Formats: sequence, C-alpha cells, structure tokens
Amino acid sequence: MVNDMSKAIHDVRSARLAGVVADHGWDALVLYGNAWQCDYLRYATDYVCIEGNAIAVAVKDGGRRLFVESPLEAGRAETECPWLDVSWSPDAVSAAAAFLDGLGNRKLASAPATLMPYGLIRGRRGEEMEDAGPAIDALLLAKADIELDAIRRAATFADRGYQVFMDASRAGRAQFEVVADVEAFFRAEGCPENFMIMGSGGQEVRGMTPAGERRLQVGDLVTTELTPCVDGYYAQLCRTLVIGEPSQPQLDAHDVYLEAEAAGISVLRAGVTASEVARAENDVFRRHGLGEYTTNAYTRVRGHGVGLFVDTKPHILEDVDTVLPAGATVTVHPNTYHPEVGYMVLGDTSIVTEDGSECLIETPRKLLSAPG
Amino acid sequence: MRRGLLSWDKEEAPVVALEARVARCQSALSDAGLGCLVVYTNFPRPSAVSWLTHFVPYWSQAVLLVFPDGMPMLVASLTPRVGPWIASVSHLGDITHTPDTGGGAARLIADRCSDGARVGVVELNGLPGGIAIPLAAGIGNSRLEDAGALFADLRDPADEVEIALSARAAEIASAALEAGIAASADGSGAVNSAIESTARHAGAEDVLIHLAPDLAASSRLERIEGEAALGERFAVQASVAYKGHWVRELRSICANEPADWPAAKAGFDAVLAEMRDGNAPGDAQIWLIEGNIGTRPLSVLGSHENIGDRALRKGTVRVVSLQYDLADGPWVAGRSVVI
Repeated sequence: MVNDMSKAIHDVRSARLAGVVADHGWDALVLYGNAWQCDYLRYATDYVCIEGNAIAVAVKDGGRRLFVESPLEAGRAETECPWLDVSWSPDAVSAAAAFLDGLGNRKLASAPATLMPYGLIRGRRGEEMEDAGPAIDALLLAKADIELDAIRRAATFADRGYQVFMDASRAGRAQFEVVADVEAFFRAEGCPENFMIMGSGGQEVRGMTPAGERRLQVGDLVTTELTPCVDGYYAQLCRTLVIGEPSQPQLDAHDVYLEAEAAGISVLRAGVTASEVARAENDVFRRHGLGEYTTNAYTRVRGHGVGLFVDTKPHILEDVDTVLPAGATVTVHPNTYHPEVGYMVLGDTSIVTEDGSECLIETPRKLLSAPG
Repeated sequence: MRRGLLSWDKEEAPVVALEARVARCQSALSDAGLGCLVVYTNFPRPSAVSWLTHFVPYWSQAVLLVFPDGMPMLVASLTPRVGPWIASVSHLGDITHTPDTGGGAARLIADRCSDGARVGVVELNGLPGGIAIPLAAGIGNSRLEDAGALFADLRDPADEVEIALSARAAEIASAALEAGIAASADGSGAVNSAIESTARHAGAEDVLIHLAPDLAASSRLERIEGEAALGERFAVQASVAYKGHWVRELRSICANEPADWPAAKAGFDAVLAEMRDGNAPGDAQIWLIEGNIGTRPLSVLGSHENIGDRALRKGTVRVVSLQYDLADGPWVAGRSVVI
C-alpha cells in the first residue's frame, strides 16, 4: 500500500536530490540502508529497510534499482514503493556490485561512506566512487516544509507516548513492562517505529540502556528518551520522572538541566553552530561546578539532529562546527550524570528558524512525578 | 529499533554453552589456519556475535575478535559508559571502546597474530566501509578472507540452548498472534498493538509485525503505518526475537473460513512433519526456508526456486513460510521447525 503522505514527501525529496545529482554531474548514485540507519536510502527511494542490507542505485535517466535480501522485503518494497525496480538475493551486496559493474565507466557517487558495504567499495570501484555524503547531508539537514510537518506529527506522538510512559511507570513494574505499554500504544495509533531507552534507580545509574528486568521503586529517577517516527521522520523527547514525590536534591539537580536546556535552545537560530549550542548548555554546568559531567566520561552528546534518522548530524558538541540552517531539526538535551542524584535527562526537538526556533514538544519541562 | 527486554538469564543461556560455541569456533579457526575471526554486529545484524557471547547491541556497532585461544574480545564504537551494561548482558573478554572500530581491531589483531596470519571475516563483503577500510589498511587487505561459510557450518546442528530459546520465541510469537487475531475486529492498529503488547510483556527482545490486510487481493505482507482496512481474509506475521533467537509465525485469518482452508492447514501440518524428517515442502506453490547462519537474524536458505544445501540440515532450527494458491485465493502460513 502506498502511503500518500509519504509519497508526497518523497516527491519533494526526489526533486531536491535530482538537483544535487545534476549539479555534481553524477551518472548514478549508490545508497545503502538497513534497519538501524536508512536515512540516505529513504531520502532517495522512500523505502524503509526492516531486515537485512538494502542498496539502491539511482541511475541518471535510468530508473532506480533496489537490491534487498529476502522476498519479504522485496514484496513489501514493490507494494510500498512501486516506482522502484526491486530484486532480492541472499547476497544483495554482490548483486548490486554486479549491477554496478554493468554500468561501465560512469561517474558514480555513494553514501553513507561509513556504512557502505566493503563488497561495493573495495578495489578500483571504491577508489573511483565519489562521496555523496556531504551533498546529501545538506539535504537531510535543511528540511523542506513538508518534511517539517512530518516531524511536527512525530513530536505530537512523542508527547502522547510520554503520557503513556508516565501512566505505566509505577513502583513494582519492570522496565520492559513499561516499554511494552508504550510500544503497544504507538502501534495502536499506527506509529510503526520508535526508538527508546530508559534508566531507573538512583545515584548508581550512569545512563540509559534498553529495558531490563529491574522493577521500579519509590524514589527512583526514571529516565527515557522517546523517539517515535511518522512517515520516516523522528522527533525526540527526553524527560525524567520520580516515582513518588521528588526529593529536594533531585529538584535542585534538575534545575541545572532546565537551565542548561533553556540556554541551549535560546541560542538556536539559523547560522549558529552546533558548537555554540553545546557551549551554552555546558557553560551552565560549569557555572554550577559540574563541568566534569559534560565530558564524554559521563555523556555522549549534548543533543543531535533528528530527521530520517534518530540521531543524525550534527552532534551537538563543543567541537562540532556545523552551521545550523533554517529548517534544521535538532534535539537539545543536556543529559548527563549528576553526582548527587544520578543520571538525568531533559530534551526537546526544535525546528531552527531564521530568528530563533520552534519547539515541537509540549510535555512540561519539569521534574515529573508518578504515583508510588 | 530494539526496544524490548535485553537481559541475560544464565540459566537459559549458561556460560558453559557459550564457551562451548566459542571453543567450536576456535577449533574451526585452527583447522582453517586462521589467526583470527572477525565478526561484525549492529542492530540489524546481531546474530553471529549474539550466538557466541549473548551480546546484542541496541545502538552503534562493534566487531568481535575470536582468536584460537582465550576469550573473545569486543571492539565497540559504543562509549565506555556503556561498558558495564555490555558486560552485564554478555560473556566476553576485554572490551575496547573506540570510534575507530576497524583500526582498533587491526591493532589488536597485530598484537595477537603473527605477521602474515590470515584473518577470516564473517561476511566480508557486507562489512561496513567505515570498519573494513581501516581494518584492511591496518593488517593488509590480502590477509582478509571471507569466513561466512566457516561460521555457518558452526551453526549446524543447533545446540540445546538454541533449540530451547527458539522454542520460547515461537511460544511468544504464537501467543502474540492469538492476541492480535482476537483484536482484529478493531482494525489493524488493534492487531499490531495486541501483538506488540503480548510479545513484549512476555519478554520479547524485538517483534516485527507484517500484515496482508486483504488476503483475497494480495498475499504480500506489509508494515502498516496508520490504519489499514482489514478484509474478510487477512494474514498476519509476527517475527519475534527472544534472547537473540529469531523465529516467525504467519497465519491466514478469516471469520468465515473458506471450504478449502482446512485442507490447506492439513497440508501445512504435513509439510512441517516432512521438514522435521529433513524433506522439502511438497506441493506448495511458493515456499521459503530461513535460518540463522550468519550475522542476520534470518537468512533465506532455500525456496521453491532453489533448495539450498543448508536449508534442511539435520538438527537445525528453520522457519518455513509457504503459500497455497487455492481456488478462491491465496492461503499462507509459516512456523519454525527443528529439522
């Protein structure tokens, strides 16, 4: 079944991509995706890979070929993306490599370089293939209005999903049972995909992971990031709640995160760098004597882009100089460990605009609590 | 994305069983004259590393290095903060955290192997360029060779742990489908939700749901976004992971069952019995056999077009899916079976 909205977005993306391909004089574009990261591939084809490797080859004036690894994926691709010429093989990499060999001496480009299978890039073919990553990254970063609408809808799902998360978080429940309730909600609402990790406990908790069997207890900090997906686009919300009434140390600690996130969001506008956003967040921690906890010993990033991938470029870090254009969508999240109370998270997805930003998340920014 | 329960129950997957698998691997390495086996893992390709160590990544990527002796070593692009969690859910030797996974692996191989030692890579052609290129640069491209077949041979026959965990995954898939079918009067979202909820509350690591919303029109399975109208006949498939072990179950549903469906069900039962005895599905128009032999959870091993040599090996866990083209439309089914 063709998703009409997804198809409409695909048409916009196809036109933008065609311009880039023409500008670079590429004869064919090779794109790779899998169930973890499919953004480059989906941008060009609208196909979302669920199992195995998937490789698309868009040939100038020659259609778009898709190579997948099972008849289940192939049948779904043909149904959902009838504009693709789909074939399957248990070894899609070799099948795609043979197809590229058949193209002869043409100017090829590929992306993403880091994930492109070795079988496609080893030897002379790889040496001659241009890296299409930077050009496509620019398209992925500055989104068209119709893409931003999808992210707004995903953000609405994130808000609703967090309410389910709060309702599910009760003393005695296991982490995986909480996640089960949230995922069941998303599926009931027709949202096919969500990335979430969580944490629970106190000062001993250093981060979030997939759900385990630990049961929630009164006094726990319960953290999560929810990242539902609509028409391929993700939006992310990070919140911390307490089972029972928050303690004063928990409230005091959370105030630092509130201040840091507000500082990061306050500098968002077209032309600002990721570095400036990260610095605004981290300066708050440094002012509170918590600068150590902004390092990679305690936190991965201070936010990141979101779009066709959960955690896309740029990472919000002080050493990342990527300029954010209008239409970029980023999650600012000063998530890190607090030495007095444990790991806390707070994050919201925003659209970067010419004169500021539009925050898409409506869940209150505060240390929330769930009945014990 | 992985979002269910990831944990290690040492009664379900005992250390001794994991160590026996690693020993089997090390013996094969020695027989093949390889100095190291490199095994890639990420969210969509977790199975080979999971089988050896019980580690399933929910994010990022890693390679496992198995040398002819000692514990396997993991080189992960996950940050050190995640190290304690990795250690809590898996049986591993040293864990190296580095964004340069390929370069890090090359350095460890250089430390442990003699110059010129051959290095096997499970599914070398599928190794991501960001890892493969620095690995090849670090130890020399000519020393790398594909070890997909070597690893696949290790999986035959399945051990008791694999059979038991696959059986548990199959139980979860069955129960989840029952719940989904019971909710079908309320539409595709209700079916998906009931399957998701049932599977995850039962401890599933992951569940993928596909529907053929109108089986009379098409047997093609789709991932539903939004709501799809369910026809009088529809098909639903749940692919379930439990502790690293994936199975599928596929059912055709009709409130007023057509007259020829009971015979189709009997035919499918007969196929399962034949497969348990090592025989291919007989008279189905379309059939597919999948199994876990590499990094992917389920790989196509045989079909009505080409019965592969690994499809029906004795003692293995396989998933069979088939279609009968009946007079009034297709009928589909699928289940896991031990050959």
